[in-house]
Amino acid sequence: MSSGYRQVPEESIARRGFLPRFFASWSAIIGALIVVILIVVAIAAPVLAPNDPYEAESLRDAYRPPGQQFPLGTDVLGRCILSRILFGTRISLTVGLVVQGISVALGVTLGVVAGYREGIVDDIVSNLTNIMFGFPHLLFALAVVTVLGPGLYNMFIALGLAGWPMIARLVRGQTLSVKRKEYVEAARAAGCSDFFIVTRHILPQCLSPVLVMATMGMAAAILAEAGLSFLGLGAQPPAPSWGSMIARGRDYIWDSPWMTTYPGIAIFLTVLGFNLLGDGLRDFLDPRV
Amino acid sequence: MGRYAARRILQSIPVLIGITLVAFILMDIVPGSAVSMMMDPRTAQMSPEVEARLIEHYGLDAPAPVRYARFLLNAARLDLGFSLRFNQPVSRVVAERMPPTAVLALSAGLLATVLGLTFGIVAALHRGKPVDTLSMIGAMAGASMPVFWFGLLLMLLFSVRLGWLPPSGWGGGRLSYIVMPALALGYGFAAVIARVTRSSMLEVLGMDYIVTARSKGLSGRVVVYKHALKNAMIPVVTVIGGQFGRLLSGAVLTETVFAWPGLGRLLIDSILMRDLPTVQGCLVVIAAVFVGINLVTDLLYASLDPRVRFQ
Amino acid sequence: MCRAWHVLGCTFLIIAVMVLSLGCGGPDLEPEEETQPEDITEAGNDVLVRDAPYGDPENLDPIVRGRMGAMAVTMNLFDGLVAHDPETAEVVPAIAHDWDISDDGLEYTFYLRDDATFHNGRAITADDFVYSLERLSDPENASPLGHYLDGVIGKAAFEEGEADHIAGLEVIDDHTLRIVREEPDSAFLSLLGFPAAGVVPREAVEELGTEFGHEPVGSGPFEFVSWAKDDRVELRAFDDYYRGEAGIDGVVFRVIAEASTKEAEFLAGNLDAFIAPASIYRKYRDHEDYADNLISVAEFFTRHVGFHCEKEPFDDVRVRQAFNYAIDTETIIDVVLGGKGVPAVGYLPSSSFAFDDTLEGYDYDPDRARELLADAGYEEGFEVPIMTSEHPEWGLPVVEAIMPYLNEVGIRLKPETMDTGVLYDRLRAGDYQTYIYSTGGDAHPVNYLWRFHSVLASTTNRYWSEELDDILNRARRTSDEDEMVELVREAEAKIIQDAPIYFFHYNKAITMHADRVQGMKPVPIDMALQDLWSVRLED
Repeated sequence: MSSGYRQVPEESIARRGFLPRFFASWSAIIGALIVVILIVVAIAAPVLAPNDPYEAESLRDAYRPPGQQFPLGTDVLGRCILSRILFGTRISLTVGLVVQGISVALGVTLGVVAGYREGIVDDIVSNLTNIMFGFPHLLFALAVVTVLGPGLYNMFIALGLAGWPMIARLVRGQTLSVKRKEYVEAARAAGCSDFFIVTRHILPQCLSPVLVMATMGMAAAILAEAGLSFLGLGAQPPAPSWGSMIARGRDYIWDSPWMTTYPGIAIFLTVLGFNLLGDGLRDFLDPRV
Repeated sequence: MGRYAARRILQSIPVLIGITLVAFILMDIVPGSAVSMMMDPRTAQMSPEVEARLIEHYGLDAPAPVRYARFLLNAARLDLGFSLRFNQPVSRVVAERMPPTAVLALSAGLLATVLGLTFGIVAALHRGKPVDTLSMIGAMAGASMPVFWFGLLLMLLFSVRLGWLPPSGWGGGRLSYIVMPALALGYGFAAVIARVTRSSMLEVLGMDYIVTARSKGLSGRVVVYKHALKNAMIPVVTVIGGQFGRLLSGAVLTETVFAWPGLGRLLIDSILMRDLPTVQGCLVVIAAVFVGINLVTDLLYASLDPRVRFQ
Repeated sequence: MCRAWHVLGCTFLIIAVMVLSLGCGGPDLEPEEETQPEDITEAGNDVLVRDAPYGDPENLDPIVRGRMGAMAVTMNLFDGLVAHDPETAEVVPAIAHDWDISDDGLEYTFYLRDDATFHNGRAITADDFVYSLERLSDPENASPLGHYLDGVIGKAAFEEGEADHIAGLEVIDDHTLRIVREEPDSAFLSLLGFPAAGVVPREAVEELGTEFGHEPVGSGPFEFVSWAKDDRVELRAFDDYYRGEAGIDGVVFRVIAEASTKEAEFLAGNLDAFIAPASIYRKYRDHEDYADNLISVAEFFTRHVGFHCEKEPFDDVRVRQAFNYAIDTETIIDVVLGGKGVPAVGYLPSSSFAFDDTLEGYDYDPDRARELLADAGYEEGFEVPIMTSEHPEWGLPVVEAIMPYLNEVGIRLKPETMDTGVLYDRLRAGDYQTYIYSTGGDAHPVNYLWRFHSVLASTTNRYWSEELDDILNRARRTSDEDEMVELVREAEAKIIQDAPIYFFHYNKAITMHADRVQGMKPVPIDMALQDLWSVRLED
């Protein structure tokens, strides 16, 4: 399906008010800022964390509200929530990156092949894509994790498999439209190999939209991981994944809300960051849309 | 148009079948058997003879392709099999849980559409002003919040602290029970709709014919805006259709938090209890709804943009 | 544009029709009974609203499944020959007001009441029991609980299809039933007190078929009103109940999965009673307002870490004992479970009448643990996987809590999370080294300890002991209760010494109830199995 957006004359951009244009670039800036902070936190976690995130010093420290020794309180087993959130950044970023890596790898490959070759190959891939679209994203990942068993690596596979159709569809569309461009036909006529055409002409055109989608996809992957952990299929202990922290703390939400609130905020900010970045990237890379 | 419609419908069938196949394969490889779940696993141990007898009784000993074929043939007659958990026809099990999920999805969808369209249009019409920026920030926030966390927070605020709304259950569909789940589920959806509506409106408003009409001082702003609105809705409709999957995934989480007796809960519980027939039945129904919605969106689209029909 | 709206309109119409038609049921059904039964929760009625322990019962035909969630409801719908006293778990009369057991333990003669009726009004006779018990044992019905009548004369032949009836079930007259066994079993009578051995009306079963499980008709103190799946089950007091009418007019079981939601509903006044998990017990056990609203009992469920006793390193009893010494059980119960657990001495819970309070279990003694490990040759310690579920009281949180203690003595645990179904399957397949689990659910001490008998070893921990087998066999065969208790205590001592498991705790089950609820009891078999007939609501 074509995207339905028609071309907007260049002049109308100037017509846009000052604030939205600022907002557009603000998105990219704030988003990028958040993501950079997250990366720094992930790397510097051992330095920043006040306590050991994996093992409590004493079980008796459990259920402490935020205070001096434990700035964001402790969880059911006496572990410092702040430290766990800081180390959890590593897990979230890894989840986002690896899952999108898998989705992009699969999606781009299948999308290009389908779009370039057309014919039967296209039919097969398109049908496969449509079938995948028939499953709600989370439920498919849930089923896969149930098959494979809980654990971080299995979650990567599950979410990666759940995410490729979106990218495939996008890349296929791009491939189809680029293929028809004159310079590609010229290259074909000149005898360039398919591989050459794909890598030199088609893939670069896909880069921007895929980048945008992958960035937003990282946000989606992090949310999905939290959801799966909440449903009870989370990462293995003592890994401090934010989703499993919420899942663990949800029985105590009325009186010890810090156990769920702060990891929730962490997820929120991270997802927000990636969404803003993706949005900003889109405006930046393709201002006509 | 009719031919295109027929073609699209026919195309949907292999997709539906493919979905059932994937569901079947997935559940078949899942370790753990439905039969051992028929006893409380903490109490008496099920002897191998009893287990074998149960497996035979429920036809679970047939090879996988046979079972799948059986399932397909029955599905064609709208018989979705027999639930191992409930000892009841799956169609009955699913039918009993459709109303709550339908209520949840429709209320959330309605709420989202109303909120999203309103804020999106307002933001577009007053672009650059604080309303615009605030709306978009609110939308961003909505798209970034984990549904279950938001639901828990709502419950904390409105039920426990304020005592205004009942914390859980679906109360037969009464309004006070629907508010929080619909809000939790719909907010993220509303966010997406708002943003797409805004950008689509902005784009259309910048179009030549609108600009021309306005520059001619055409009265009836209403007419102009109505035109803009109609054309702006095209991508919005597409997005709503596409985002429906997110709604259903979110429904699973929302139903868990608010103890909502719907399809989402059924699906999760059935996966965990290895009740393969019910899982298949659920997925078929959900997939049928999806495929249906995609179909509708495509047909709508084709009727608006004739070029699509000839691809 | 008009066409677009047409398309939209048609589609919504189609969807509406689909939803409505599915909502009215598929091809297998009779028209849904939308007849509104009286709303038992309307004002003026004394209705107990409680949680559905273990979630939606799924099926209310007592023979179809063996899950506790169903039993919590069916025990109030179906009565049998005998019942269990909720607090002592002893066998007490139900529809059989008296019975005789022959000296050789082979003949049971039950004398039935003449005033017991089904919910549909018909009087109950011995024939009805024969029908019900044969239905339970009939392989056609594939009941997972069909083994209840094992050992009764003619049952095997009946199962094989060689006989139309079980010869050992004899109708002497309308109100006298005799059951004859091939060999004695001291635990047989107790089995007859569970809902699966309850009496069901033949005409209702034949009329409803598999739907009987969704519209049950029994003879218990409550009759079935309605069931909104995954939402609530409603029961109403049975007017003609032979013990007299129940103290309340009805019960509503509400299906609520989240603990925090249960708490919220209770505080809002929408829930009269529920079974409280550790997180809630922790909060209210010393609470000035609510401490009196908690009923606790040491349930017949022993949480433990099981060892595969045929594989290294746990084939060495010293290693198993070391594991037991290494963990500070009391602190873990206090902190992780909020005190909701009774530290285990052996396997038999302290609420059993056969419990020996002079027995000593394993204290927290890490030095001794290290000694034992060194003796066994594991000075360097070792790494071992542990299968666990996500259960808050005997799952991942507990594993995470014991890991540091075991690390101290050199045992490094690697948790593998899975859901209980998979865990159970792998357990039976022997595909594990250690696991953490909760087992129990039976009141009879011999039945309870039977899991350590070699007959069941391949489905539990692969622990074999001829000595223990001998003790347990004798305990099962004797009809002298005192002798049985003696033997059971001997068996316990041996089990503790051989340490086939890490004895963690007996579940301290908690029912939290509103002030107005009187008569809920501490039921050791399972707190979920409340005899709701004796509950009263005082406002």
